Amino acid sequence: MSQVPTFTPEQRAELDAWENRQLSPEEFRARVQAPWSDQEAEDFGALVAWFAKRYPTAGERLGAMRHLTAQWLANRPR
Amino acid sequence: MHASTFNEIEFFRAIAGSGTRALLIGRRALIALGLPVMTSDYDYWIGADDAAALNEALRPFGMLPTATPDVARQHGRYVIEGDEHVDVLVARGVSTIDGTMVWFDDVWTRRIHLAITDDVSIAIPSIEDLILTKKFGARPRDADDIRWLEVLRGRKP
Repeated sequence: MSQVPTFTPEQRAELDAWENRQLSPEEFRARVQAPWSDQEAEDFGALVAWFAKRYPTAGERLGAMRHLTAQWLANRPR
Repeated sequence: MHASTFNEIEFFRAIAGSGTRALLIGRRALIALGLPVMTSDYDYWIGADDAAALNEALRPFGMLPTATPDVARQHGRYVIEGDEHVDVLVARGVSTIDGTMVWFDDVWTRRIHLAITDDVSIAIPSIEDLILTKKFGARPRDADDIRWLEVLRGRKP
């Protein structure tokens, strides 16, 4: 079985810094205003509709995402 | 490493019962509204005089503040941590990336309540105000969150 590639601590730190950088006002506005593709809008609508139907209350939604996030953090490659 | 006994409903109950003016912001607020996004911490914006009450409410969970209320107020933010990590904004007002000042008292006035159980609820900003709070940090993910919140706002009656 092939080895799953993983990040080094340095690569993870670099990725975190990139994800947490502050955008300029122009960059930020452009990202907010980027048009939705039809596929993106359809996927988003389906996902939100499923989530609301599966977890109809705020408490259920918070509990479910807390559980899923914990699972993801425990299982992600290190 | 020990298994956490953290109970999220009791956590929300403790905050609601503390008398703290505490608004759940960040991605947990998006989740509560119906957007399935991932996050590993809690973000709150509280009244400038409410840090001591919030700290006291979370002490039974083994969660401790990184700063005294006075120091937290000077810096505008601090962290409460234990098995969980809570980022706390304690500023009276914060500027967005495009220079709009957003005041806690105004956001608090427009807050909405969401039921967690029959007897526990949380307070979050209105969708419009939540969008403004996403312009404080202006990270790429904040822009993505605004896109999703704007769609959600369009769906609300």
